[in-house]
Amino acid sequence: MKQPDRKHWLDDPRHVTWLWRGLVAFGLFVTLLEPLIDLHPHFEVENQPFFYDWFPFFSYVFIVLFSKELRKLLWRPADYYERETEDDS
Amino acid sequence: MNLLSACPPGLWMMIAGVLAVALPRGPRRLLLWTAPVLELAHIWILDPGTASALAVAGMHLEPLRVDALSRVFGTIFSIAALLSLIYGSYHDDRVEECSGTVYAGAAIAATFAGDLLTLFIWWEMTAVSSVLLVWRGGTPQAFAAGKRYLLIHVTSGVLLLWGAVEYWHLTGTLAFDHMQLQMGRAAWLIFLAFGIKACFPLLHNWLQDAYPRSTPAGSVWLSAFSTKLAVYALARGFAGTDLLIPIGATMTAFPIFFAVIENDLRKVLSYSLNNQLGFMLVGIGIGTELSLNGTAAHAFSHILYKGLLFMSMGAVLHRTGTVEASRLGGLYKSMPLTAMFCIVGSLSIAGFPLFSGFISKSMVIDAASNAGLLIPWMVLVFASAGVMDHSGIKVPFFAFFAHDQGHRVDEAPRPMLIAMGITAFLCLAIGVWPQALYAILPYPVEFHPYHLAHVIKQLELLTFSAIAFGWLYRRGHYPPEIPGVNLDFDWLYRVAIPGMLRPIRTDVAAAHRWIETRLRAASRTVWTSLANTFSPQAPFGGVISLEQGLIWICLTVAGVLLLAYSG
Repeated sequence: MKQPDRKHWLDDPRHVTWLWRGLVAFGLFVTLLEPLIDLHPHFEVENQPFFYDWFPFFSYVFIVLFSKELRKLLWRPADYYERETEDDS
Repeated sequence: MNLLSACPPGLWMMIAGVLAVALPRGPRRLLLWTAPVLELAHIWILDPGTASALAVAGMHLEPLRVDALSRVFGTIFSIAALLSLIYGSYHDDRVEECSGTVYAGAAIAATFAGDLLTLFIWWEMTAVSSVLLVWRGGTPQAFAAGKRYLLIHVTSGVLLLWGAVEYWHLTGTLAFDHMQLQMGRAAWLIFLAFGIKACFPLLHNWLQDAYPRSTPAGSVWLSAFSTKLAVYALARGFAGTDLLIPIGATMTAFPIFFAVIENDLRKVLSYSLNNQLGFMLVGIGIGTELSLNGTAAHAFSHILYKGLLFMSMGAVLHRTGTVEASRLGGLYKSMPLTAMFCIVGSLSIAGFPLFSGFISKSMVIDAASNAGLLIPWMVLVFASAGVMDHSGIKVPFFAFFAHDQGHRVDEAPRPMLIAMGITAFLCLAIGVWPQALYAILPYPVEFHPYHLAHVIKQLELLTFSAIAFGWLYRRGHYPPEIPGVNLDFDWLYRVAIPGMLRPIRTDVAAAHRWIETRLRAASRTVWTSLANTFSPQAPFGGVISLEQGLIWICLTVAGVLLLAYSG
């Protein structure tokens, strides 16, 4: 087993914050580019302002929050199948 | 007819896989590693249109039929086999290498099958050879999952055979060509057989059950062949079948939710695999040249990036002994190369520009929008945000970053790194130079993924998905990784139905014991009576002379004749 002792760049929380801000800044940058180009929409919904920003954002939030609720229903201890079945896992 | 055009590609791999079992490590590796290379050459030597015919019991079989669709799948299967062999050479596992090679060979041979009976044979061969990879996991859980896996896959094969027989009666041919569900039961049986292997919704659990139980290399093997063989079969048999659009769209969406809450990262990848199959099925269902090209291209790039992701998690498992997200984190410090390769796989599956998924997934999504399919298109975009979560962010983030769990391990073994490096290079090469992939697709390609509008839209989608993750995670809304299992549809056949059948099983066991006791008693009685009759002390016992024997036989025959004629 190796024992790396040096501090890594990502160990510093300030650097993580920089990355986060960089991501948001990049998001704003591509958003600002959007009105400058023709997006060749196929559907009316794509003409909604900044569709490709808010639709994936809210889809993602929905997926995560819905999954969190789903876990309350579906989660069982790791040995669930071993306890519930005779010769199974 | 020369030998090359008489034998289907893949056959040599199966033979090599069997022969290699008996060889020591050096010659075994030489035989196995050269086999996929030879098969690749074989595939590309054969001209499209090449076919071989065979007449068996009045049936006209076509063990070999070459066209552009079979060639693209055969090509990626050969590449995947070689990469899996390289990856697996970090340890010396004869069963894994040989069964993997037979499995890959069967999958290749199946893609060149021109008739349904030949397809059935190789279809079942993939099931039987691949279950050994599941069992190599070596745990009781792996053995139990392997049994379920085998049962489900053999059932798929039986349905295929049944469908083939019905198809033969209906059409008078076994040729594996395009068919319509309106044909009736024959087509539906074949469709269902393909659907089981393609992980249709509710038929999907064998994948998440079996793949995560295998060895690190076993999962890499398994991730490449069975499901993509089913995709190939659906593309050949059911292109343009509308039903595949809602089925595929459902498959892109529902596994996402399970992947988000799953703690086992190889199981996350298995759900993610299921979700990617959905994109391919939507492409088949649309049935246009662009969508079918998209399906073939997505299968090709998917095998590479999904293999890469399984390779990276296999390396993590090999070094740390776990792939549970709740026990991982901070591994980029110890395994920086593995982390980098994993990120390449993640960027590819997420569809980041310059990576393979950007090319292939876009073809399917564009095909949906070109066809004016609003709801499937929106589901695919929704699912793309989900892919960004489970495979684009979750897998690399929780394994290599997140909270440092203090694992201080060595980097992955050299063979694993070499295989991951080659696969990562191919993921990038397809993204940067897609023309090479276009050149082998079934139809001419008129697709320009690097159109500015397309790049901007994709960057917005990915960036705002990542921002959503960052926002949820920083605010503590992202579900924590906790050990446990999440129930899925397999609960029905693993717990609910066996639970309902338990009283019946008790009655059946009691009846079995009753019958067994009676049979044993009856056999004892018969045995005793025979012993009493023919023992040396009994009237008919002892040794008799040849003459006496002949007299007895003659008397018996005469008696039988008298009885026969008297009637």
